[in-house]
Amino acid sequence: MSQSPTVQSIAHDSEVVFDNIGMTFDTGAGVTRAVANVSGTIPEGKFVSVIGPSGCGKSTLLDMVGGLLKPTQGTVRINGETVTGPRRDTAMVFQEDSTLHWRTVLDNVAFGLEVKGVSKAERYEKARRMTELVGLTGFEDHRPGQLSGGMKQRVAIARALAMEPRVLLMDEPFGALDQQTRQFIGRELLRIWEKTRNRVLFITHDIQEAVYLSDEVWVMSARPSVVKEVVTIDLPRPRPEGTHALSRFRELEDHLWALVKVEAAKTLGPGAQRA
Amino acid sequence: MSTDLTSPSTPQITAHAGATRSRKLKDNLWRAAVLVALVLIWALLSSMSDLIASPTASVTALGKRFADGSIYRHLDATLQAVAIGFLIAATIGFPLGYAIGRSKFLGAVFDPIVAGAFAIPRVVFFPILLQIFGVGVGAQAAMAALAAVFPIIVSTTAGVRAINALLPKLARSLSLSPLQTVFKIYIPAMAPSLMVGIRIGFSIAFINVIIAEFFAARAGLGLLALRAYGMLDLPTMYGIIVLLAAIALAGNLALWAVERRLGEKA
Repeated sequence: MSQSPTVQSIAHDSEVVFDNIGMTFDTGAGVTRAVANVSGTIPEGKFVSVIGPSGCGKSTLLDMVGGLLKPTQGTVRINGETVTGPRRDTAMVFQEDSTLHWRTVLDNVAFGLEVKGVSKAERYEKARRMTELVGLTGFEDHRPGQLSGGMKQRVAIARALAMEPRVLLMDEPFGALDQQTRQFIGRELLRIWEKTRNRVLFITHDIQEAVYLSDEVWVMSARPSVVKEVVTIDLPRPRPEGTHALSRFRELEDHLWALVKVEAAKTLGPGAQRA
Repeated sequence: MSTDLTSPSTPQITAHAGATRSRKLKDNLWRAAVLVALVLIWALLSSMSDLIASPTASVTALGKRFADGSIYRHLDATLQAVAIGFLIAATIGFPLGYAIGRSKFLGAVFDPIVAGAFAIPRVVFFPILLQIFGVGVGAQAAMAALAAVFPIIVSTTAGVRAINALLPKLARSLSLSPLQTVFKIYIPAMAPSLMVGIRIGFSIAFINVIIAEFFAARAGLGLLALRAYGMLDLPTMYGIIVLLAAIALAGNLALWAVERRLGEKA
């Protein structure tokens, strides 16, 4: 591989910075060190994916940026400010359905703005734009119960985007969808992101998805996890449908797969590497 | 299922509206038929036995009570006891059920207590309530509250626990205040189970007021029915039973309709 495994410098304060963070859970049954010494930076306007074996603390990392979890060691900084709790400039999209089933699509998309106290006219105007952006025009008055899983995730994405977050945090947002829907909505996400260019921290265990979407892929090690390698995805953007077939795509995928396999083997025990 | 992405699973509402309406009409006709059949059976039975008042005699006797105004004191007493009892049960039951559902600690403490207490026939406490409140509406209301509070707690607790676990996380990530979390997430998400609590709570309150009135009361429809029985005034007794059934039916149906409306939204 031509790109060298480097952890980027953490000098720029206009960025999302992980400064040597660690996370230890005390479950009562014992102390688990989930995350150890993660450092890294999400540069302005970049799409960063995190992959790694199950249970390596990917979601923990995301929750720490979102302010839902406090690292037991180190700090997460956004624009130079240490994250101490949920912030208005981050927005999250979860793996499972998180739509509010009693609200219409439009009211779901406007929800974040509503609780923030944005005026009715302004929030609906924004919500309409976001609904259009995610391709749900015509469904504004539907309720989530009438939508497919993929459409519900779009509602969640639109709700997050409506907050105009500096950092969009996505925790395996397509993990609960079937393969076809997943590929389709992945392309949609890229199309939307090309327009908004928020920083994105995207958790996934789908390597193809990570390569296709990202500027950088962080490969986490098994617990206690560190960022084992940062792989720069140097595929040109925009990335049209045939991108998956590029030989460079395959190379990157193989490289990432090799890295993840070693780590997965550590969690699953001997024998797993043969798989 | 890529087609799923663009086409909703909504039925073609316009095309089905007519069919739905005629089906509803049919359902209602059948419901009416069942009620008529029950009254006919009652009429038939009354013609065979002197111990059963006929529907017409019962309704006439009831009408007389309304006409001379003698029933209002009793009707007021019963409805007051149900209303007060239910309100007390709701005021205690909903917040307590919510707290038990949300807090692990309270759940651990109260789950077995509530489940166990549910099995106790609450009416056994009525003598104690009589001691405390004396014979009167207060004792009936307390009886209703004591009985209705448990189903309200149980359905509220179940409702809280059934909430999509991501919604509290969403609330935190969007920095909702505790009040916003309750009013914009929990209450609307739980609306159907809250309605179940209200409906069952109302039924139980009503039942227990009547039972309590059978034991000891100064006024009330239960007392009136029992007195009529004592004086072998069967038409009045049957008339009051009809009135009680009608009140229960109307109240429950109204709440049930609201509940179904909420259920459709989900």
